[in-house]
Amino acid sequence: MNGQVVKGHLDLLLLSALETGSAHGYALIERLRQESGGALDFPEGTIYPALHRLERSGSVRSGWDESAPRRRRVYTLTSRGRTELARQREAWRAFARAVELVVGGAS
Amino acid sequence: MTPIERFLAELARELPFWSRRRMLAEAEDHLREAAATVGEQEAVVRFGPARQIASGFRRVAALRLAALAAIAALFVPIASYPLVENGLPPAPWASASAMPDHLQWKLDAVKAFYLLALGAGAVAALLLRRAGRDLIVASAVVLAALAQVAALSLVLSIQWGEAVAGTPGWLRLVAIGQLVATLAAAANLLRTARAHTA
Repeated sequence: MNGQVVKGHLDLLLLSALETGSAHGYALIERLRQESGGALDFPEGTIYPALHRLERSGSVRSGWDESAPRRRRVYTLTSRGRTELARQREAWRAFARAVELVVGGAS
Repeated sequence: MTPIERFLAELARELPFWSRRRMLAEAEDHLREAAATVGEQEAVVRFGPARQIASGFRRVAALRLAALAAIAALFVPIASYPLVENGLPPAPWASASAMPDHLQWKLDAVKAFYLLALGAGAVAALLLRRAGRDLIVASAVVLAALAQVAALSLVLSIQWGEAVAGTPGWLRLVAIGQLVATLAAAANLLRTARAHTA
């Protein structure tokens, strides 16, 4: 799936990836890669403007992990983020159902 | 220079000042961890072009600057007030309460709109960090209210001149200058908001 398609759903993907636990940027990319079976392909660095935006909106919080070999920023889903994730997840499912009805094709 | 060092140097050039330190640290951590598996060159390719990564941060920086310009516009009427106050000749009416109605209500409206602009400016200042749609709205309210202040001030300057002999003509230029500056800031905010929400 190309980068432009992913771009519109990056917030949902990142919130969903953080649902299983706190992670830094590279770990989130690996998590998305594994959970999508390698189908998601987009410039890895683009998650950082999205993560910073989610932090500004209060959906995630972050902090430096000084115990890592290098300075590492770790992101955690907040309760507001869980609410936002539920809302976006429901919106996505409704959209996907509608699209499937249209493009499903004649049986 | 290694591929990662070259990339980080390019990213540093592209990023706005206040995002640079944190983003460079995060990018380096990401790239070095990726490089352990796929090598530095491939890690840089997978990360994406520096300009593309930085564009998200530049949009936020542009929005903050547009909002700061709106907040700064609040000081223009304050800065011009001594000039106006000292430039006005003595009024023919004995007290402020005897001011003609058609001047009084406009003066009251100028004060009311300016107070609205101040309130919206305080809200915008609090929202600067979040840099979201609510900052755009607060900044737009500031500029809309200031535009009303400037427009009413222009009409006031004309009518004041008709009511009070000796009123200098340059007062209109001060009001026109405020109106032009406010509309320019509003156009910049609109352009920035479109890019931010695209």
